[in-house]
Amino acid sequence: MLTGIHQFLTRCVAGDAVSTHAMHLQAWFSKFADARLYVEHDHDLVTGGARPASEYRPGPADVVVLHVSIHTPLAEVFAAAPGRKVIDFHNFTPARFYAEWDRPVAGLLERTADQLAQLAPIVDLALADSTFNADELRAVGYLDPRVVPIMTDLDAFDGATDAEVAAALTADRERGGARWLFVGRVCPNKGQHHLVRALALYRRHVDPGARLWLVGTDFTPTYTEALRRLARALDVDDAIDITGSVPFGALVAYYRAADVFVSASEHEGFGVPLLEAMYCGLPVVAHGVTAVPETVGDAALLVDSVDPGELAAAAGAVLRDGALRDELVARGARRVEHFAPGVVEDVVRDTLDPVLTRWAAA
Amino acid sequence: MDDASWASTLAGVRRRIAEDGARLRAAEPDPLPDIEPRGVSAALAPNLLALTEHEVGQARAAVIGSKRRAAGLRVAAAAFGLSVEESAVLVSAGATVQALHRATDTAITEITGALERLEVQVARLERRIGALEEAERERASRARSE
Repeated sequence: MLTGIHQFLTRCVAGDAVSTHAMHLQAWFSKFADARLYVEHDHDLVTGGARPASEYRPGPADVVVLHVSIHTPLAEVFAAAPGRKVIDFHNFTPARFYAEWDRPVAGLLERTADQLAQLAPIVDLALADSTFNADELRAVGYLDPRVVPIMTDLDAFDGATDAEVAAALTADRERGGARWLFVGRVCPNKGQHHLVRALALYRRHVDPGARLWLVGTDFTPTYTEALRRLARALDVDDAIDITGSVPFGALVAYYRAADVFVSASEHEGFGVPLLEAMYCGLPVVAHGVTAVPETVGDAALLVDSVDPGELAAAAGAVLRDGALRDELVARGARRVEHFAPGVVEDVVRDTLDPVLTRWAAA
Repeated sequence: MDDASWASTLAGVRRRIAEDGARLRAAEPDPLPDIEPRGVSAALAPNLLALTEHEVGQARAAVIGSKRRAAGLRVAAAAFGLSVEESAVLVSAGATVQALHRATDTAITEITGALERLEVQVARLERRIGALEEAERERASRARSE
């Protein structure tokens, strides 16, 4: 009999992919036992009833699940817990991306790999969002990681768009030119600077009215400031909107108003915005590295490099060729069905139910 | 479109992209500028060095007390006339809001290290200022004697 199945994650924030995934799992785990979420700190960003890890009191037959995306002190609580241990690996950005931008973050990321490896001998079950992530787990000593895709709330994109933002974006579109969109934290590994350079090239030689919307949390201010300096140097600062974090209704409006989703990200453990774009009917152009190819399947136009010429040419191909665009959109709509809640729940059931049932009987 | 035709179509599109991309690059007379970090040493500008110890403490507290590090950096920057890079230097001990809140031994070590590096930079600048002042005094002295 299990006394609890409790998850530990660095934070639990509305709109965050790992947080959403953890809340879905919580609902699943609650079929077996008391299921709670614990985070590093108690502050008002916490959602889903999560509590600070300091309040965790181990039960005699608990299962503890640690979500890993950066070095965390929660690993100590996890390691000290007496029961079965599950790790859910969401990957972490290689430190080299931050070395020039945020040394402390780079330091934390450097320590993440060590922490992950140290946990391997005490973990009973390892989960990973993607095959790419599972391979990384194997490389540091995890014997049999299972792939369970991240659980998303794509249906929520059917909901209300922020009317005010939608109207503003419609007015913006009336100025003419294509609208490129990228959604993701503004930070070095997401490669927004490659998009700025590509847009500059595209405006000079293809479409002078083209604009780029960069939507996402300002995570690395030194990088964001440099991004603005780069846009000024390329004379495209008036053609680029760096919105910062936006409410969900506004995010939907951006997806609905854009012409193409372009990603130059250099490291993704999964890539939820790629699926969000597909769900919203946007054709996707993406740098095909790390977990990106397995997330998008054959439903995106993948490029081999972040060269601005190649990115601009790829975006141009999609915008110019209606048949190509329509096929990408149609395949995108089919691709997201692979990650529909019901489908992923089947994977969760097939992966976790036998294990949890066995542990409950032990 | 069936999968085989689609794979063939994509392969053709990607070939054209490679050619078009090369053409776009070739159309530029000069290489495009690229992003440039402004590192810690460059961030140690006079603005930062002009802060009193009390102000340094206040600026760091503004960030540490903030729920969002990026927002905190901007608040501190605006309040004390710093760039975000300078503001980031002040809180280099904390990698994330979580790390800042936690105030672990690691963070304390990093605070100490950052402050020590800052002190080294300040000392270096003071030596340079002293040398410049000395040179200026000598120049003035020579000018007077001439």
